[in-house]
Amino acid sequence: MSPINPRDPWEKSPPFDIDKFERTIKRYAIPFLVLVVIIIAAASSYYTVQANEEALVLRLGKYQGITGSGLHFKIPLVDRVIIKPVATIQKEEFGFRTLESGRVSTFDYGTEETKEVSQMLTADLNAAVVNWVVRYKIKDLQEYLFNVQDVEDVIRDVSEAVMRRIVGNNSIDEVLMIRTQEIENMAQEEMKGFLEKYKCGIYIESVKLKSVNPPEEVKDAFDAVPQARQKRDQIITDAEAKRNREIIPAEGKKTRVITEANGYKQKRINEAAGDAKEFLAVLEEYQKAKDITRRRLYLETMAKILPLCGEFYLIDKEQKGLLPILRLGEEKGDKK
Amino acid sequence: MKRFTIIILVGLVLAIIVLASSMFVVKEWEQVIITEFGKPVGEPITQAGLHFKKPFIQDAIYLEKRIIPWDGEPKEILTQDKEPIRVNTWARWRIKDPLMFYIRTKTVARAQGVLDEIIQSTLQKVIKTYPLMEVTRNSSRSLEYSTDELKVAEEAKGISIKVGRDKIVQEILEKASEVVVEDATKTLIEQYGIELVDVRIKQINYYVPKTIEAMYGRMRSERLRIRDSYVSEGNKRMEEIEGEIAQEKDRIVSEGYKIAKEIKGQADAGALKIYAEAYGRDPEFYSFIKTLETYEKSFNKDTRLILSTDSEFFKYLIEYMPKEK
Repeated sequence: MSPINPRDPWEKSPPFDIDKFERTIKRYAIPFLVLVVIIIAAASSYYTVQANEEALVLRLGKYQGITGSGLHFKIPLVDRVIIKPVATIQKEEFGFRTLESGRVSTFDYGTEETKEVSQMLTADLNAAVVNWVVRYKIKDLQEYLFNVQDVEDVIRDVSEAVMRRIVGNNSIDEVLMIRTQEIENMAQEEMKGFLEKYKCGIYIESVKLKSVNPPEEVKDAFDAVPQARQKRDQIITDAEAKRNREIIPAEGKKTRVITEANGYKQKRINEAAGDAKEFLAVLEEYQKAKDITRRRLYLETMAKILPLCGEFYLIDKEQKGLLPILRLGEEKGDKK
Repeated sequence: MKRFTIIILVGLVLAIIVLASSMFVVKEWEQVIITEFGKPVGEPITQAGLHFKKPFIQDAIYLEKRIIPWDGEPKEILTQDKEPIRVNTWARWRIKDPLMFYIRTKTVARAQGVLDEIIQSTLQKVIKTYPLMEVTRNSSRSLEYSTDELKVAEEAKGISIKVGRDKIVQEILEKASEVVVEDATKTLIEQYGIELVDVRIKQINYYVPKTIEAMYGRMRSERLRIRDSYVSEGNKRMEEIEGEIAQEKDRIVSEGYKIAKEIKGQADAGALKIYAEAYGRDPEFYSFIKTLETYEKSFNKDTRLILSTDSEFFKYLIEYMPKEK
């Protein structure tokens, strides 16, 4: 190694000292490597599991156990830890994709892929467009990891097969409205059976139909049916209302006519009773003194009527012609 | 001293290499075949954990132990009743016999290819022997509809399902699990080491535009027929009700008049009875009174009255004392 010349500090700096470098490396290399190994080992000897997760531990490939949330230790290199969200409910969407989730979510129904999934044949060879959601969670981490490759794929395939099978067994009306609840339940049951057969450790929480519609191309014809039914009901209701509107006044008229007749009856009877009473009173009087009463009545009447006459002729009983007269009409008063 | 250390170090490294080559780890989802110079030896290892083999000479071939997915390309098939449909299937399989699998099939990719051929051709062979209805439905259950008309129309088709979708799917699985090799029928397991766990129909759809249009046309005309029947039902009912209203109105009013007339008749009869009873006590006197009343009522300024001199009224005009009669 070339020393710095103490006598001439202005001499050029000596070139890189290889020997010194070598010595330094040799001295610190091994401790340095050991330190690195220790750090790596330390870093890979623990792991954390979140509250909604579980960790499955394999020691030299063999199942060791499952650990819950918290900080855990493992043997570096030898242990392998697989962590999965076990308590979280996950979902698979069929026939649509959620674009944005929130108070008001937006969905995309339009892609080719989604259309293919949703359109299916019904039992009566009609087409229905069905969109649904499957909610599930991992219930057995061991089964989930050891038995089936790509569990999510299985869930999708099984769900599509099951839904199509069920729809293929129902009429278009049953699918659109009559049996939607039953279809959901059946789908859940059947999926459960499949997944248990494959032992994939999945629990199906729910299968919900998001929408069931006839294809776009015939939607207008399908909509026309309930509209027409409503219209029919409306027409009948209106006609019945008209019935009330017209019958009630007719009843009223009938009642009025009868009441009038009764009134007439009352009046007639009363009049007759009154007239009869009047007559009987006069009759009673008459029967007490017949001649006098007759005479009186006769003269009274004459007194009334003679002044009323326009012309009055008095004729001798033996006369065969007309006498010149006394115009009685010009004088007033009775002559008894 | 230094040479000794180097020999130790080299020896250690060699030992590690040999050790590494004689150990292998089998994970829970793996199974392993040991091969010696390319030929399989011993039993397949399905137990997870650390295992040992002869270093360098023997190889550990890893195979999948889990159920493996297979997805089919959509296949266009003509059913027995000449309906053109596009069928999409999926399958799940596993390596059941690792030894046989290694010998015959070797890789998952090759297995998928084998399955492609087998499953697709089985699919076609089976489905073309059934009408579309059998492939779609499971039972002859009578279908419900929103109107009786539709229900009756569907029942009139007299469809009865003899086999059904489930059995057909089962048939596909069974037939696909067998393969004919040199006139002998062998199972898929025997021949390739593959076990078909499931073959399922993912989608069945019409794909020929004309067929699709025809289906839409049928759906549309069915619904429009229902709509028309609702409309005509409504109108018919409306006319019926209007007829009933008119009839009812007439009935009510005429009833009213009939009763009124009866009452009036009673009234008149009643009145007449009273009159007859009263006047009948002295009919002559009654006619006397009545006549006087009539004179009173009928005489007016246009009346010309002509009396003779022996009228009672004028008897005192002639003389003041009554004649002895």
